[in-house]
Amino acid sequence: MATREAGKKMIMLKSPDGMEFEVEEAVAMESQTIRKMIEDDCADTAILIPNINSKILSRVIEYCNKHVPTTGATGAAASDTVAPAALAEDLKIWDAEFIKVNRATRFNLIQAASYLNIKGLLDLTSQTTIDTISDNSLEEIRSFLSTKNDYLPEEEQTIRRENQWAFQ
Amino acid sequence: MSGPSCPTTVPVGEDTTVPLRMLHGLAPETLNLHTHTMLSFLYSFLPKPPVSTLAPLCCAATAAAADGSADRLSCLPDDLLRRVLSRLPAKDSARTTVLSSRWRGLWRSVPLVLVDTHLLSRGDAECRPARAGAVSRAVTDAVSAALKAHPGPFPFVSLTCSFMDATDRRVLARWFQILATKGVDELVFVNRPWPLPGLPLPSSLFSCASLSRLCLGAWVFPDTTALPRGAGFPNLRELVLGCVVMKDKDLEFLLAVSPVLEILAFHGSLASLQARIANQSLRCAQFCLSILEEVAVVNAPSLERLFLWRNWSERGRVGAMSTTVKIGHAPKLRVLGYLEPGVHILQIGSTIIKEQ
Repeated sequence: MATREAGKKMIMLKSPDGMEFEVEEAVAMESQTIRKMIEDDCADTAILIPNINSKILSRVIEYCNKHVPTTGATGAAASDTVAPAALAEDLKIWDAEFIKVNRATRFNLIQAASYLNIKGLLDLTSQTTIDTISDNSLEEIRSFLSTKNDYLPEEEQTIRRENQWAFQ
Repeated sequence: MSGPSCPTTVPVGEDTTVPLRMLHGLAPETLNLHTHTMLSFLYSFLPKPPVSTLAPLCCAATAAAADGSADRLSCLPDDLLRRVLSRLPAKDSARTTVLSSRWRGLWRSVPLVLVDTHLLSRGDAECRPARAGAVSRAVTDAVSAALKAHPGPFPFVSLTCSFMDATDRRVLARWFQILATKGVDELVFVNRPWPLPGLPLPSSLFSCASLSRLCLGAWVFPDTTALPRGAGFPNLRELVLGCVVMKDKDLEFLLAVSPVLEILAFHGSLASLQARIANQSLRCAQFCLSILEEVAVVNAPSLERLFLWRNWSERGRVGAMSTTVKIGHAPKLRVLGYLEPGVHILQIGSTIIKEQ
């Protein structure tokens, strides 16, 4: 648990392209992967985050900053005066803006969320992806997922028949 | 046909935000006021599905599509793609099986959330059909096909569009056989028969041992006397029975074979009931809009809340007091309501409280 005192403790995150990000411990601990490192005392100096470049890492930090529970710096007063429902609604709007990114960035964000184990960001990125899938034709989906169709024509027909209910 | 001011179907696309009175699409001419109240009650409290046909982030998705770059989603590891698939409505996720053999394998390995209102074609504006016909038949067939095609398990199944009658007994038996063998966690199953009460559920309901939440509506409860030994719901935590016809002994049996049950809600029961409550884990029980002669809390060491609301009794009709509430062993009972003078007789231990 990040206590109020610990809320001010800072952690250094390093991306493989050499950028360093100083973030509050509580913010970094939105990532379960980093939380584990901190709890296991593996985070004395800087934490190197492999495979996540500085551009994506800064977006991830931006997300965590927004989603860290508001018990630390902003004080308990803020959460007392604003209704939780309104806060949640604000966050939703913020999330929808945040995820308006191109596919390459979204792909990198999914990978980052998965590696860093940030459930909210993983949910957000997967939900955006499925919204793309559900509104398009199969050919469109196949092309933008860059999926190679490895079925023989007759195989594809069989599978289509098997799930005929989904194509009605 | 109904006039234009009397819509026969109503939208259910937004599972969470539809106004209460629009939640079902029973044909108006088939409803009397009492049935209407009970069914509205039932439909408005159906558990919310974990996936939605609404695409809340479609703007973001469209923005991403606009840049024309290919999505490298297929490069993601299987567990991440499963996560993506698990959030899709059944129809959309099943369509990905045609993409490639990898996607087919993925689909088969992701537990399927099956909600029959999601199977209605979008052209029907996702309205529950108001009466039995081609639309309800198509949904029933699609449910059968989906249950057959997917290897399970099914974390959430909600079937509320079918009009099942005696000719559907075999379909019904098949559904429960599949649910029992492939595994179902939460089941919402509301029939739409007319006239009520409709059809008995097959006793294979009791083979669905993995159930943790069960919500039944407008069914006749299966006769529990003929069940094999060991039948029961070892994982059931929440049970909602709406407009269900049930015998006293069946309720008693149900409570006896549900060792972790915490919530029991009994709404709009159409047959006179004497409820006898003996269950170690039950924390909250409610009886609403039902024909209720008596509620006897015999032995319920965990019971904290007991609610009674707008029940009536057959005895009440001949001028006597109506529902009797007996409290035996219920050491944790904190809330008991709503007791109305002249309507309820309250008996705690051997003390009887009633209006003179």
